Amino acid sequence: MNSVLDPALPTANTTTEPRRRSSVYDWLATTEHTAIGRRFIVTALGFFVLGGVLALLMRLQLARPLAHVLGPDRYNQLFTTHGSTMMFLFAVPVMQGLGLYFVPLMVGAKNLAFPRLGSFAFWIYLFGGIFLYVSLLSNTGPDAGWFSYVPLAGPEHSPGKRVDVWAQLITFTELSALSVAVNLIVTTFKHKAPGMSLDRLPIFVWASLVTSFMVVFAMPAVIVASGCLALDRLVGTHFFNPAEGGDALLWQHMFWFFGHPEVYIIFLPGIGMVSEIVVTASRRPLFGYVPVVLANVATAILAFGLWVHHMFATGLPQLGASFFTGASILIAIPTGVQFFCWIATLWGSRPALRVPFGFVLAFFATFLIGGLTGVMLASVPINLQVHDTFFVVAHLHYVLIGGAIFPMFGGITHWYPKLTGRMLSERLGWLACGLVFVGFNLAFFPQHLLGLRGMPRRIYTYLPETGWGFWNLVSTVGAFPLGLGALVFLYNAARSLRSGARAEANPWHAHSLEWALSSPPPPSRDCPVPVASSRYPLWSGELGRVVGLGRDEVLVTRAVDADPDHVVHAPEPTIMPFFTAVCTAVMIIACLFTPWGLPVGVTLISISLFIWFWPTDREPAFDTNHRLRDEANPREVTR
Amino acid sequence: MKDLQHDDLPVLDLSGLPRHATGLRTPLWWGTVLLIAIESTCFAILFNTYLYVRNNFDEWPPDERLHLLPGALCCAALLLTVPPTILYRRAAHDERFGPMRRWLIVATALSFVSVALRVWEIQAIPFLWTGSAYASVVWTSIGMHTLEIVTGAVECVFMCVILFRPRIEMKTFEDVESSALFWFFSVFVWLPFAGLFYVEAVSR
Repeated sequence: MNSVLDPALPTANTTTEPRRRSSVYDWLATTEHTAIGRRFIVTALGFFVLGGVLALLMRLQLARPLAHVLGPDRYNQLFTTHGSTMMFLFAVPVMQGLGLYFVPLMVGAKNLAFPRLGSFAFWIYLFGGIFLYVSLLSNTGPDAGWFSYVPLAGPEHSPGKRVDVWAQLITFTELSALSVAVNLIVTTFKHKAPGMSLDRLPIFVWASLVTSFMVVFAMPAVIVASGCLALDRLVGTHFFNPAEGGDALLWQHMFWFFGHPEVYIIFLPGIGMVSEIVVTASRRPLFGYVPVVLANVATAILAFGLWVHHMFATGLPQLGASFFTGASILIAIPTGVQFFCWIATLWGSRPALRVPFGFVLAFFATFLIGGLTGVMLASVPINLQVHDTFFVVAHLHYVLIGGAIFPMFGGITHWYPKLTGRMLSERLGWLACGLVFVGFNLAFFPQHLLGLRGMPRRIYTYLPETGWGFWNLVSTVGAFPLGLGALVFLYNAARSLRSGARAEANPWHAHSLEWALSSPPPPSRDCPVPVASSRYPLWSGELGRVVGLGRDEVLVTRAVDADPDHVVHAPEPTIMPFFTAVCTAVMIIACLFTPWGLPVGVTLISISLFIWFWPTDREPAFDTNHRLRDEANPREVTR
Repeated sequence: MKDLQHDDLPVLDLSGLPRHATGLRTPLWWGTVLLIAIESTCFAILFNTYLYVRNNFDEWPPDERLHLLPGALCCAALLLTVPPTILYRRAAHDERFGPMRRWLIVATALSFVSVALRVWEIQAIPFLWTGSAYASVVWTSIGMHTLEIVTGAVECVFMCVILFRPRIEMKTFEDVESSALFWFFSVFVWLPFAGLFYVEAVSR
């Protein structure tokens, strides 16, 4: 625990301790970014296991022709819930959870810019996930695919509440994702440690920042889309009803304007982790820091210009299709730039072959294949041939598991000492890495072949005469070592909490600021604020420490150069984010059954927000009469 | 890697920094701008939805014409809230309590006038949302914007109540300033919609 920045050092202006309350209250009210981030990560991993179980059930059903493990109705619910879980309840939240935990530490902030909003984001996410799985268990799981295409998802073809559950799940998860994105952007811009200018940010922070901006501009599309779908279904509007002037393709435009950037929202943080691990393993600065940052930004911008390649089969004008083909191929360039920068960084170095680097090597192989099939799918003739086949399933899993899950496993292994103060078992780590890599390729590579042989997606069974049985069996056999590998990883994480070797502050000899703190880091009130004078402060030794900041005070710096600007009082922990999330959940779920859910819910939320924002009288204040008397001389009274 | 000990670390003393700021120096300003970015994107998508479904109709608008008077009056009332909002935002930015409270009260009163006119505007819509895709977009846009201005008006009331407490926190200035920023957005985001809906309805 030999931290460079020792929290035991005295700081100025220490204020009074907050009132002590029960531990349950503390647990519900905490606004520590470490606690919120940890909860996001653990909950997302829980949903990852549930989504994985659903996937295994589907693979069992498809292992041989005309199997009877699942019926068509249950199968539809499972593939929809699997997709929705992995996209909305696992991939985005786990990346945001890692961001919530590590971005403040990496930029030298004591806590998030809006810690209460962070707490609200977690609770609303948790309630959304529980809502989806309670619905599935009560045979009301959504069943029109994770993209809920109309007219299938419309009121005529999907009566009942199943699609409404999906639409409301979107409301839950997008509220959460947007809250986290705003938090991470403002934390990065306004709470950096002095000296941590934008050109010194660790690449993971850049990736997290760029991703958060993508969330801000992409998620509203799916919120509006799912809102319009809910209105069509619940109150009889006609957004997607062609009979009354609506348009089914409008849904696809709205959905994929969100859905394609979503892919990058999921894997950009992952490749940010890859950069961190490559730098740490090779023990040298990243080759091409600026090109890598620009590649992240370029990917984010281009990601908004290629959603229509999901719609090539809808009969687009040729010029439009050509434009989106060009854009889709173009986006391979910034990712290629990052690949070459990683290779150049590693070239001639002797990288430390530890488990995080093992996951990075697995990422290189799988993500490359996913990227190459992506370039294939960007081409209209190939796209039309393999549209809606298992080739697309294979491609998207190579991109998402390759681009996000391998780096996530690597990232969690890399940061586990900081998260818990313990080291993971190397032996179990390598076992998990090997099982996941072999199982993944065995499970998903054959799906390319199945797609090329014409096997459509989203079918619950097939005839023996199709000849798809062998590769489906291979795919199912591969899914089990993949699942086992994930379980070994989680077992390793759970077991090491107690029996793992104690971690030093910086066990990997890494370069960024989180490693200057003890493992795990101290509570935010006791967290010292560093001064960074280089891009790799722990390697260059150019590190200082801020004094004159109270335990309840937070430093605000300038957005670009991170010069100290002013100091604010840290918000107190409060249970109101939890209550507001409860009220929001009540409103969202009640709206499924009655239009009165909206006014009642809005009233409840308003009351809880009033209490949330009511002044605590702990902030610096001024005397009103004095202020009124001295209006003419504002400088006088600002002291 | 240099193994630093904490005793070796140079220190930066920040005890002299101000304990309060306003404007774009504050995290709240940035948070509000991002909230506006999110909501602007939502409104932009609705705006495009209107233009998209328009292609599906031979005659546009397909339903009865919107009544111009209530819509125009509501728009005018919203625009009338802008000058006092500018004044209370400026006062908050300069940390002048008296003018800030006075103009906030005026702006709050006017915001409720615009909400009342909005209720009239909604009552005067001559079709239901179930009529056509056009009707659905119009109702949804007006509904979303109504939620927006009601939220803004209620937030103004909340701010007024806080400004009459005996103890006023310094951060109230930045809260009021951010509230003004949000209100500006609520007013100006409606202008393209009002133009689209009413100009088209009148010029048919």
